Amino acid sequence: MNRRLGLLIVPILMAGTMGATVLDCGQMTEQAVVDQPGHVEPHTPGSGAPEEMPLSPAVVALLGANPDLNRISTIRTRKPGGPPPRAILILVPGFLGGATTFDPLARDLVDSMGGTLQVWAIDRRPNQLEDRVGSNHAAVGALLGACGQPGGNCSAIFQGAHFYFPDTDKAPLGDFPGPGDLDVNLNGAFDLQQPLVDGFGVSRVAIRFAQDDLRFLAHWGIDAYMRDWAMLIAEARSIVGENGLVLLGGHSQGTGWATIFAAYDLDPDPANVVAGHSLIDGLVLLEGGGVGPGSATKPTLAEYQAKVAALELPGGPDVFLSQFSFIPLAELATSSEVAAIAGFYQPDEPSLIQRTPTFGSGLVSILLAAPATNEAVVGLFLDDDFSPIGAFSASLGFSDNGPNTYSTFPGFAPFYLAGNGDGGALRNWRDFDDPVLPVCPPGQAPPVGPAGRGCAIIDNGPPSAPGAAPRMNGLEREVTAIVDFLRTQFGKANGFEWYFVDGRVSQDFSYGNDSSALVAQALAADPSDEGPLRITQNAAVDVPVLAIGGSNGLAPEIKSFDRYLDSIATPAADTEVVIIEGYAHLDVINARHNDTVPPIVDLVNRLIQRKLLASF
Amino acid sequence: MSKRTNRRRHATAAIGAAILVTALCGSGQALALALDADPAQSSITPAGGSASPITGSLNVAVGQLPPATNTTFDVTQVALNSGGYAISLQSIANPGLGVLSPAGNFLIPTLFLSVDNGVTPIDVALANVTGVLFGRGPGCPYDYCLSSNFEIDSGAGGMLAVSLYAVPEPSTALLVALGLGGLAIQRRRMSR
Repeated sequence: MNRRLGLLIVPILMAGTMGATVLDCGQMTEQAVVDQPGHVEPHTPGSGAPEEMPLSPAVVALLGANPDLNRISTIRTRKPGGPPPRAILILVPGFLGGATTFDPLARDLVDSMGGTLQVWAIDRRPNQLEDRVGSNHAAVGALLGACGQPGGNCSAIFQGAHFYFPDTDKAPLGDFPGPGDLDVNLNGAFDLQQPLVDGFGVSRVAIRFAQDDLRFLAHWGIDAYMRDWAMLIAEARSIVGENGLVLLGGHSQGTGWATIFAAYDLDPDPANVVAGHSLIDGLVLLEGGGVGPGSATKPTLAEYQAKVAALELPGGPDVFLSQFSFIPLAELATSSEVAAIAGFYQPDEPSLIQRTPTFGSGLVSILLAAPATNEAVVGLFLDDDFSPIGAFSASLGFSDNGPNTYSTFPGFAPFYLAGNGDGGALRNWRDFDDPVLPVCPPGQAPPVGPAGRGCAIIDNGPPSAPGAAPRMNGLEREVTAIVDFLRTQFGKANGFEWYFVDGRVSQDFSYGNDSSALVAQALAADPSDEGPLRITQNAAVDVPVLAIGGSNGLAPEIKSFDRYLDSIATPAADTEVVIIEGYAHLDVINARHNDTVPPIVDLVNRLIQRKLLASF
Repeated sequence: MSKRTNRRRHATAAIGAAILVTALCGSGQALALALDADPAQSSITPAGGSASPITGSLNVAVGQLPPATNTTFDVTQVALNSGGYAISLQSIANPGLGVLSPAGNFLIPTLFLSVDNGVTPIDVALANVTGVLFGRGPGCPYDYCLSSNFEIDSGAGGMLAVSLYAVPEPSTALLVALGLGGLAIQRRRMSR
């Protein structure tokens, strides 16, 4: 427990690379949220433009009567004081990811480079729509209440959880009295959701938006994001100067966003091209292959405009992703935040989120049926051995105090389904560095393992044959501390994007790396305007590219990056692909002693030297 | 001018150049300079403490010498000792990449060092390490000398003020002298 509190108070202590203590050079590494004006998209509340769309009552209740939602938010990892940085790496989170997903990697990078480098992690626009009153109440209350310490008070975590979720009828378990087992007064009776006082002084329960509350998301397409990020990049350039570096990167789907920026023409005037790649000095792709060719059939301009018009209208198509794997997305996101707070402060207590409607019923309750501790339930949901979803996968350790049934379903990676704990115990979690994690030797079938309960570390065999699709390979490693991962999910910001923009962005993504046909149609209609989406410069991208994959991840082989690297103009000498054996998808941004750090540091060093040779 | 004289001049120049290349070049195109810290003029001074002389060596790979334009200046090896501290490069790729100007000023944007006080080794990344690489003249009785001053935050050990003055290793200095001498003779004959 003390260790966890220490991690919260002195986050720098989590840093460490290369086997030696990494010195902080006398300055604490700072991770601060910077919120600033973004591109003024005219339909967006707060724009002041004639096109500005009205606010729904729910949005007013959460954000007030006059919110300005044309905002950019970043988490900036830096060493305050000292000389200005020579390089800034701007990172885009992956699918459903928030800016804090980069916290561990960003801290390691900045610590490793002694202030030469800053890392800015982007929170995409919809993050400002999240009702975080409950999670902030839980996190702050747990810290102030010394939750987890002897005599500490953890009631704020219950209150925060109950702000989002109604009471449920579960059997008594540990602290939970049942049947009303999420109630904060522990009287065993059903309660309504717990109201809390928000920033406006209003006592209320959680606000979850319906599609019609957020119809202005019809206009948060790739163009709005690219213009936001061009502003960020201009700011970064002003800090590092023309002789400094501004690098853009991403993790997972974030590599698609970043490479689209490089390919984007930011100027809709057909007489000018302001290519995104001309504004940056390099790309860093983490566990994602960048933008591809898109859909076989791409919407015409008329279809594009019709879709946007439909998205604007009440009752129209979804403007944000409503569910993931049959789980309402906002509920999954809320659960993630509550689970992380509970797992961080009360790792060995019965799982709080298994008592919620989201995880207490439906599909997730089948995958996570075994009663588990707060910590173990996160491991069972996200660990590479227990998660059937490769995008939600990290090498966190293992659970072997109960049977693990090797399971396969079409379209999903094989995974262990955890049964009830031995002797009625809660399923618990062995951390990544536990010395007795079960290891399957080569040839040992994963379903069995040395003790009949499966393996934390599996040999996934050789890489794919030439010409075949990339596949997971090599010997797995356990590299990510679950406490580090938990810490990325709450606090100053969070690791989940609750309202991931769907309708408009999905349509934009369907054009892949080339929307030239759409631009041509737009110019035919109006010769002065290249239209709403201008991904026209991919073939001209000629900046250095560093691509890093994990052999147990979604970009497990060098050829995972071939499609993108073959589509751009960067010469082979300026591209580097590093595959880290044993890393799963989330390990590249979360691992302790992260093998992702050295190649990025080396890239930054080499590119700074290249710049200085021209200008020193 | 006879063909024989020409051949002799060319041979002298070739030998000089070969010796110089032998002295300076590592693999590839960079010139490798092997330097020794001069303990009489190099020291580490802990905050509030007294200075201790530095002994040991460092290697630098220079893209071009003398540099006609900005050129690479990469610290490739460090083995320095002073007052119980052992200083080396971190075990990472390219831990000391820098640039050297035609005026002889160098800048290493980030120098990645490992500092071992015999108890806890620590990795430090030093921003903006500067210095000069200068030729024979006042303060430098060799064909080139290196001078740099920087600070290392050694954590519990506090700040360490480093003053480094390094000169060519004796063997390197001899080879360089021979090489430069050969080139000088050839140039003098050409000018006659």
